[in-house]
Amino acid sequence: MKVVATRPESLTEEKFHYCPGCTHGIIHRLIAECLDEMNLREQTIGICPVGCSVLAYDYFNFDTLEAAHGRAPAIATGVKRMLPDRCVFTYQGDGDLASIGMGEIVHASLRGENITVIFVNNTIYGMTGGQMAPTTLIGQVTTTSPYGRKVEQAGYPAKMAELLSQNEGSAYICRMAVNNPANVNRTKKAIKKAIQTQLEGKGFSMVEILSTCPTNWGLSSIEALKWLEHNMIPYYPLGEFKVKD
Amino acid sequence: MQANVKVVGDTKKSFLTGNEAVTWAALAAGAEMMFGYPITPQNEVMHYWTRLAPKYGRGFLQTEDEISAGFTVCGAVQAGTKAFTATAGPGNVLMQEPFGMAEAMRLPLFAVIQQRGGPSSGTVIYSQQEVALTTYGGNGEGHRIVYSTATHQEIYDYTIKGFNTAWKYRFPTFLLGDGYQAKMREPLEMYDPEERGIEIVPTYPLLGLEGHIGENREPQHLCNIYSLEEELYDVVLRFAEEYEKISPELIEYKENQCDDADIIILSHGVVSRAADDAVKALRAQGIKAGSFRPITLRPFPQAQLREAIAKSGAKKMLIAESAYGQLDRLTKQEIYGETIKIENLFKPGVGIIDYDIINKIKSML
Ligand SMILES: Cc1ncc(C[n+]2csc(CCOP(=O)(O)OP(=O)(O)O)c2C)c(N)n1
Ligand code: SF4
Repeated sequence: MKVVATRPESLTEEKFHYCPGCTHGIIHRLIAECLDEMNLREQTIGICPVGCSVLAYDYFNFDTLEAAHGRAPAIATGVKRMLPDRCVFTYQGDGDLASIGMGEIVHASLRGENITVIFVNNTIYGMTGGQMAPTTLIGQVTTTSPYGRKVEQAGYPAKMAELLSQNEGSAYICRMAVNNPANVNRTKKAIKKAIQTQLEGKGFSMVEILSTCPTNWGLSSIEALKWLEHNMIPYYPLGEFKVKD
Repeated sequence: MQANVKVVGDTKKSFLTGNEAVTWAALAAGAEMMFGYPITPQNEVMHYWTRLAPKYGRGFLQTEDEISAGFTVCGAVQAGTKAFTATAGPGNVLMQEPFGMAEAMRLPLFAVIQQRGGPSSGTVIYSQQEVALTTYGGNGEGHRIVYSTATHQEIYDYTIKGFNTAWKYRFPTFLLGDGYQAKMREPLEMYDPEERGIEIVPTYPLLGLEGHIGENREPQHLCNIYSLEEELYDVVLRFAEEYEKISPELIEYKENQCDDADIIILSHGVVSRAADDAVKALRAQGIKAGSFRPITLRPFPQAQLREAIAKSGAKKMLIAESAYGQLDRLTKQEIYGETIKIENLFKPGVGIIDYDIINKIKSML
């Protein structure tokens, strides 16, 4: 029998705890594949957030640490500045990165901090029970916007890739999605490019990835992928927003 | 806002989670606005509030983090609005900055704290590890009022009372619950405060007042920083004096069979329920135990505890808490000089049941 796919070395054998149909798992695998293919596993340090991916350290087969909610870019800064020859990345949800951690992420980008950020945007707070996130779409129902998000009350959804691409310190900023195989492949390429940006010392890199939360969206796995395509991509266009030479 | 409409109507028996009880009580107390940021085990206060508030014309804003939630409350109460927040654990840590401002500016801020395991992200479940933070957190002198509840009925009662205390005395006021109380269901009676003869303390604005500046009023300059050491010194001494003056009116505690006790169990919050059960079981076995529970952790019922020790003649006291000595330190500083022998049962971040206390007491005899 011919083996066509194996577990990347950068993933442990631990089973993911994610809900069925959640795309956090796909994103974990993409990171692991990239690190394997770039032969970086031993020199990588991952900073995991507080959010559904709080247990990511159980799944990655390299050094990881867990930050306090929103503070991963600050901790990554401390690690990277002291260990500049390591590949340092943060893995953050939208509540973590765009709400409580807005200060840390903007300043890491402004400083051109030589780290890579994997930003998982699922328009909701998964871990704490489906509350509104800064990325929640207008009209979207969450546990803290039970009648749908209203602009007059809660303002507008945050477009983080566009926002951070304005900063001089940002070297590579893009937005991808993992809703179908073609987009998964594109996301993988983007993660590699972001890590390469860091290796070349060009500055801050971030891959925003549109991801699903079937549980808190109240949708099946398949419906969630469709919802992402029909609702998220029109508001959060995919593509590269900043590529520094 | 329709803060005066009857929310509950006739008194009714209900079976609710503690978070739900907070929400209903806040509505019944006429709270007009909640600012909050998600954190377990407090989330459902916001979930219920966001569903119910529009029906009663009350407002809500989810802020970008807890620092902002605390400061938006500081702003809203200065505008004369009965506003509150609820948080837990690391959220309580971040809120120490606004809580400190509320202390410094004597703002009627009311916050519900549902303790979870620490330090840092810890667990999302339960603890009594936010005692030190809630009573004395911040770079000040702990001029705060802290009610530690033990039942859902108390959550309801003290949420209503908490708003009144904050607006009457203008010291930041806290309801200190925990993850067990937040998430579990228990029967309680809900009522409209007026039905019980509870007068709702009126709110008033400090800013945006009526009249014309320079004509019939001066501009308001609400100060939170001082140029001179002596200026601040005077302010803090004045606060301390006022706090001490009102403390006797505020102090609340529960004493259970301390009169003839050989051994006193001191605890607060839900652990006091285990302590009361333990007293019952120990008495049935001929062991003369009593229990004492501060309801206000700030101001602390120190004279009352000293009196309980004196009248019982108890030689031993057990301090039981789901923390590593936070109540213990608070108590020892308050009853300095007492010679009663103190032992402890510390289970940081873990629940305590009657059985734990009974075993410990037996080992002390
Ligand atoms: C200071 C602080 N506030 C709040 C929390 C509670 N909390 C944990 S995870 C989280 C948000 C998770 O949402 P997101 O970052 O979007 O990640 P997801 O779970 O959706 O992957 C919050 C608010 C916390 N741990 N610390
Ligand atoms: S709650 Fe949502 S984000 Fe979290 S694991 Fe489940 S589907 Fe994924």
